[in-house]
Amino acid sequence: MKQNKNRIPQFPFLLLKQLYAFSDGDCYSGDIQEEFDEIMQSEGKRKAHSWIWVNAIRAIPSTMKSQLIWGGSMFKNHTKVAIRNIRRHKGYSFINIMGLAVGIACCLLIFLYLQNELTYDKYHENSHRIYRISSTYITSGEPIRFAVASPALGSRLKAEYPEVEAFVRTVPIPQILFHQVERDFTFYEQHLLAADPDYFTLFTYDFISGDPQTCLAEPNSIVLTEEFATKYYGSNDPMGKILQTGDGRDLKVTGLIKNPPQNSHVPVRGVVSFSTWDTEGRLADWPLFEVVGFTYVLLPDNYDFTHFWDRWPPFYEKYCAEDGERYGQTYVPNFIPLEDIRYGSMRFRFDVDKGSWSYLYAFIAIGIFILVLACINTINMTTAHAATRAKEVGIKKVLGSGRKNLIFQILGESAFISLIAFVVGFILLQLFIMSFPVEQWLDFKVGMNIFQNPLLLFSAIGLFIFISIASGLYPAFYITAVMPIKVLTGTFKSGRKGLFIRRTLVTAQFAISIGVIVLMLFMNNQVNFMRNRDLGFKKENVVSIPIRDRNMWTNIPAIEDELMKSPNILSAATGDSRPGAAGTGLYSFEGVEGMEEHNFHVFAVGFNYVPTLGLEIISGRDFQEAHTTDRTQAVIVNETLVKEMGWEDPIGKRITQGNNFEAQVIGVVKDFNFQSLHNQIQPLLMRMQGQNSGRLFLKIRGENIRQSMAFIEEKWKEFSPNRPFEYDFLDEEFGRLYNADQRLNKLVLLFSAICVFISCLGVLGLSSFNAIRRTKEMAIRKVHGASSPRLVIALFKEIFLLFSVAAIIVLPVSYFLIDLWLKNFAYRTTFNILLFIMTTLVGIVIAFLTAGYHCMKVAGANPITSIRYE
Amino acid sequence: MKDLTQLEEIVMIAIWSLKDEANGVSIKKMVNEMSGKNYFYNVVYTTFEQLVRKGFVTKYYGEPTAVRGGKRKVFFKMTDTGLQALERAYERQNRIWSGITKDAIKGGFAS
Repeated sequence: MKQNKNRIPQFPFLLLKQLYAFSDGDCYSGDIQEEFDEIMQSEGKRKAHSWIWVNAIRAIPSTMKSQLIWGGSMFKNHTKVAIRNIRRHKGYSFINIMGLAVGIACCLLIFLYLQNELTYDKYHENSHRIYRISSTYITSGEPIRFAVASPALGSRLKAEYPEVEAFVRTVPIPQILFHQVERDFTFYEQHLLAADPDYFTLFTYDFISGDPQTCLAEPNSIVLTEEFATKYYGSNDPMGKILQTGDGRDLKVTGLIKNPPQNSHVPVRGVVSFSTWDTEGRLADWPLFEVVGFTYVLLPDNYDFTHFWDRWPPFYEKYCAEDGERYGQTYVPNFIPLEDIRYGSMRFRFDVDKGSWSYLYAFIAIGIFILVLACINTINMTTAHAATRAKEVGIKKVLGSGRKNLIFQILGESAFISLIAFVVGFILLQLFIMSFPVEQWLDFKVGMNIFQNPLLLFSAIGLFIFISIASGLYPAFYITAVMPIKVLTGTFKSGRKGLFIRRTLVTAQFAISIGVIVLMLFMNNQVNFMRNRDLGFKKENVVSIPIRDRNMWTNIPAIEDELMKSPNILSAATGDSRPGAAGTGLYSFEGVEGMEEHNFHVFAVGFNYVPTLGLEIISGRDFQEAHTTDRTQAVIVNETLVKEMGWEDPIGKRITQGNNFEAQVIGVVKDFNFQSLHNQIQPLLMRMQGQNSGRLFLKIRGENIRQSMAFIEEKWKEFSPNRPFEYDFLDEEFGRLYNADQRLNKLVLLFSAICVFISCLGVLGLSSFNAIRRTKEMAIRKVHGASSPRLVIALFKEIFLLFSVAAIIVLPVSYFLIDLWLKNFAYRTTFNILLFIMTTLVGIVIAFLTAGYHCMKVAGANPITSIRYE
Repeated sequence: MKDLTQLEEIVMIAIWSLKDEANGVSIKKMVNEMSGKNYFYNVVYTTFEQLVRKGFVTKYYGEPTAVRGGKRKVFFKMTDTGLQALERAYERQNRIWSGITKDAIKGGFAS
């Protein structure tokens, strides 16, 4: 055969072949080749090539048009059939759709949560150009990283580095007392920020009134969010009004902004001009080694930091070298991109609340599990019911339908069901959000508006496609693998094939559900353990009252005396630190070879702190008023510190800090958990507080708490009539350290309930199907003398076996996972096999109850009616 | 009996006039010449299907050749019904266009 040197280009040729869907396809392609060759001979290669390319491309739209016309008419028919199918098997369709809908609702929620978390701070226009400057101080020991920076840094950087377009210092204000003059009410408000005038240049906020450029220029200016303004002024315009603060300032409202999105690393309800506190601009000369507040800079796009570090040595020389000598430290700034603050891996002191990756991973895992469960459900249901469609498929095949077409048809039905499930799932999610405080649990606002959230739309579509394919592909192949002869002559045995796969899928479902429940129970265990464990101090019934008014401090001894008069109040003390809130400090300790510098945790306390919190002194003594030098020259350490320093005889050891602190160890306190149980107990230093700040702690009796609280409030108001009475209980406060864990716990509880629900749906559907399928068999057994219970057992045996297999598989996996999670905690519960076994047993009981209905119905059926139609 | 659509009419005429030479390629070329359009094989083949289904033509196959990559040719032949359909089409055209000349159309409306 002559070699055809000038081959027809394959791409357009094959395309044309593919697009031609009718008969005589080979003649068709032959004709194309013939004409191609003719043109090649008569007009040349280029003409021939362009001819075939042009025609190939022109064929596309006309093919699409004809496909649409044909496809469209079939589409109507297929939808009709799909709806009819759903109607005919209402129960099974319901189970299918519900399972998918619940799975979809969960996935949507998790997606929204993830989206919210991972786009923290992205809503600012300049978000990719903003950096927060964190400070690292390197001493002889370990480097200490602070999220905050010196207030002088910003202006100096701007002066020396022209690429710093703007800088902003912010100081989150823990609480301010506001007095609304016109209506005369007083509230403490949180989440306020003190900021430089350029704040709104860097960060994007929606202004309702006021000028973003100038609103913070003057001292004593405040910009309010809508929510704040509504609380204080209702629907009146707050612009220009005066708000009085607790420390005697009059703030003028210079701006009103819309409530900012929730996903901001610093929550903001109002912004006060920085100059309000720094009227003389003293902070501009602050040493770079003393830190106050956050500093942000605006740099050019894609800034290359080598430019910065090239010019760092002269900057350091000019501003830091001298102080560095004095402080004995080196200073290095870190630039953290704004978007990395929440989820970045670096840990800083005095940082904002950071998000945790493990939390996110847990969510993603849960979402995947639930989705898998739902899809398995649908697959099982559809394949189990394949027999009902065998005749339809057989006839279609006889009429000439190709297998591919049938597969697409089944997939189409699966897509149709997924679509319905999507709509139902969406509605379910809305209902759920409306009836439960989900926003509180997860701490975010659920924005389900598709139009404002294109990513949600795309993911929803992606999810839809995935579910349609995942839950439809295998059933499509399974259902269409029918030999028409067998169906039509009645020798088709239903349900035999694919039994193994179905069983594997059900086992997988069981395994996932058991695993999730076991995990949940263990998390519960751990959280309870942490709440109830003996922490080395008595946190129960300790009231802690923040002392905000500086002037109150002189009254404290008098208040204490008054309060102690009540028999319900056992002990009173002041302190600036408490378990869960301890600072650290750099001190020098008497070591083996002279003084060693360490940055240990420090408690600043007043007299009586030790007995009030129930701490135990095991050697030496407590601080005592009688010893007047205790205020400045005495220190108590904990056991861990003694061990850390290698002291055999700790009493009397010297501890100093710079030139102004010189003390000796007077006592050793028994180790107590002043941090959450995530951490090992660290070395701790206790000294008497030098400044008047902190709280008043009162140990009260366990009985008559309400009376005691009323009494305390009454006495407090005598001394501080103008301020609201605030208090906290130490055990509740400490419990909040585990907030994240508790929330995770609650959510895992919710999701494991959903897993169980979906698995039960699966068991329900399968058991009903099996029971119906084996009706005849059961009838025959009955006739042969089997009793009803025996029949139930026979029906249930399969599920029981699968469940046990699942349990055996899950055991080692869950052990591994739980062990992994427990590594987060320094103090943990042990893995309890009993819990696992009990979960399995309870699971079997639940499965039995779910399947039982159908089993018993069949087992109790009259054998005559079952066999009659033979 | 069904009427011929315009495209069917053209294809039928091509098949009729090509007699023994009425294969895919030649029919397509003649149809394009007559209609002044540039149809591709898919359109023409679809029309073949319709005509065969209506019983106006029959199809038979020829020998495969190397040029066509080893594929055979398809040929069409008129049936009696087809001839009748062509006749009717001719008569229809006559009835519609009787007495109208091209100049008359150029000159505006019927006088």
